[in-house]
Amino acid sequence: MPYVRRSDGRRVSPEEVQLMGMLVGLTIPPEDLAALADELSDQLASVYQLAALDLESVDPVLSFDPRWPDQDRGTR
Amino acid sequence: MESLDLTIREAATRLERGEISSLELVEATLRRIEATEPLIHAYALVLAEEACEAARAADTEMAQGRYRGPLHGIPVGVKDLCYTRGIPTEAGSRALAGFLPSYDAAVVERLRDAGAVIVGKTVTHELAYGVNVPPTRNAWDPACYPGGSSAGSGAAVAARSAFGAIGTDTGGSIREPATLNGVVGLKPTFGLVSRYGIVPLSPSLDHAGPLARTVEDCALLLQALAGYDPRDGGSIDQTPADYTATLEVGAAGLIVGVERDLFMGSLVQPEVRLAVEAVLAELAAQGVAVVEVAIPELALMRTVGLTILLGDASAQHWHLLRERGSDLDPTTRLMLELGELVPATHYAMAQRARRVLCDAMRRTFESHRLTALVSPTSPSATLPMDEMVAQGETGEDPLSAGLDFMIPANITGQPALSVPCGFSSSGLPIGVQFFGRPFDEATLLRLARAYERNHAWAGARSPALPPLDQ
Repeated sequence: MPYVRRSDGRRVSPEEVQLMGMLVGLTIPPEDLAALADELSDQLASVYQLAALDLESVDPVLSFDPRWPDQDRGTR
Repeated sequence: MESLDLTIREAATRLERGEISSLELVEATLRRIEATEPLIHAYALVLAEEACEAARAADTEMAQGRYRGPLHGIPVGVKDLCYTRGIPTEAGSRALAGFLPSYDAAVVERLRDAGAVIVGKTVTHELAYGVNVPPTRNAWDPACYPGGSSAGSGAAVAARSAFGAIGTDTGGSIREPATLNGVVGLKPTFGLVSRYGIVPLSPSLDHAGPLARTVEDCALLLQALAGYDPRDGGSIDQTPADYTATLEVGAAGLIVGVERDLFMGSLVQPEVRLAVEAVLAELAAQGVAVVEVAIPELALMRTVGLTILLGDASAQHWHLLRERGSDLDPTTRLMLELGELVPATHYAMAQRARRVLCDAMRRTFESHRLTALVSPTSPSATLPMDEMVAQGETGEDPLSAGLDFMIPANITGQPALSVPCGFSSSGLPIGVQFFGRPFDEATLLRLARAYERNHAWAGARSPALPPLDQ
């Protein structure tokens, strides 16, 4: 999928993917390695989009309630 | 077979008056399934015997004056992601082949309580991830993509092999098959419809909701489905509204927003853009104020949504990947592997960025006093299967590009409704999407109905399928 590239343009190699898989206890079939390296490179690069936001003082979404603060709760 | 052309509301009126029986409706639906399944493969499992038995029971109850409401005796389909007690629930996966749940999903319970008759389990992309190729085909052109992951639900409703259906939506999986098959699909507000007993993908992005041929039918289904359920950790204790009470009030005085940079830009097929512009023009003519809005944060929605989804789905299916990985479709397996390799810091950053996006959406609605934000549901009408994943001039493939239009509502939890708004020059359906305020489905449905009642899209029949009298 088309994400921005990592700022240093570095791509993850299939060998690195295999090693990462071993570290998390996952035996990745050889036929998945190349595609996974591509997808992972794109996914890792995409975080630079988020890093452009000032997130340090933002509370993460921990339990999710989509209601807005001023909304009538209308609970029973 | 003309009974299959009735909406749920019309069929319900005839059932209540005793002009038609549930068994007649179910038998006509089963014949329609037989006629259309070789072309569209919408069903993973047809429950002919069970459905006829349930229809007879419904007819007996109605004859005794015990009428349960507008879904009583109505044939519906349920996505094969929803548990059905003692009936196989395989979630489109060889890895779950033969799984027999010991209980019904909450949505199934609620449909049964409302008297609906479940005629079958509809096909889903594997585990609802939306990446493999399902057997289902588009009801308007069987060479084309049906949408997903509630592929079978969308195709069945369009083919009239169900009056309505249940879908689930983690990144657009109700709305995409709805728009690509020319039916109405509603992803309700997060927490409004219980997901108890539905094979999960992401606890904070998953939703369940209805697909039907009309806005009113969606409202009727939502009425039966909505309500607090403590068995679902995401369920919210807020009293459901009456979703049909204001449907015919009209839209004059409402305000809708359009975000042109993302939702009406170069990714959108010109004829899709024209169709959505026509919707806006019509709403304006009915007295709706149309305002331009800018939500630049929308550009981050896909990154935020996918980062959360990847981690959640891989955590959910950690054991399945290790124990049954070879039984998974390679495309699903790849996504589950990918999710294991995404750093936890990225997931945590995405949950912070999610807050920023929710706030941006809320501020936009509040500052412009919006009822809804309007966009195409999908940037293109359906395409042949191989073209859906081919990169276009923009470097985007239509399948991925569609996420940008739908996943915002999964991230913010607000309701989003897809409604047919015309056909492409090739005769394929186009849909418009309305994002609403949390728990304000009633106004969203009212707005959509104000548009829909001037059009006969719901009555259109696919020329690719056998006529109803066969």
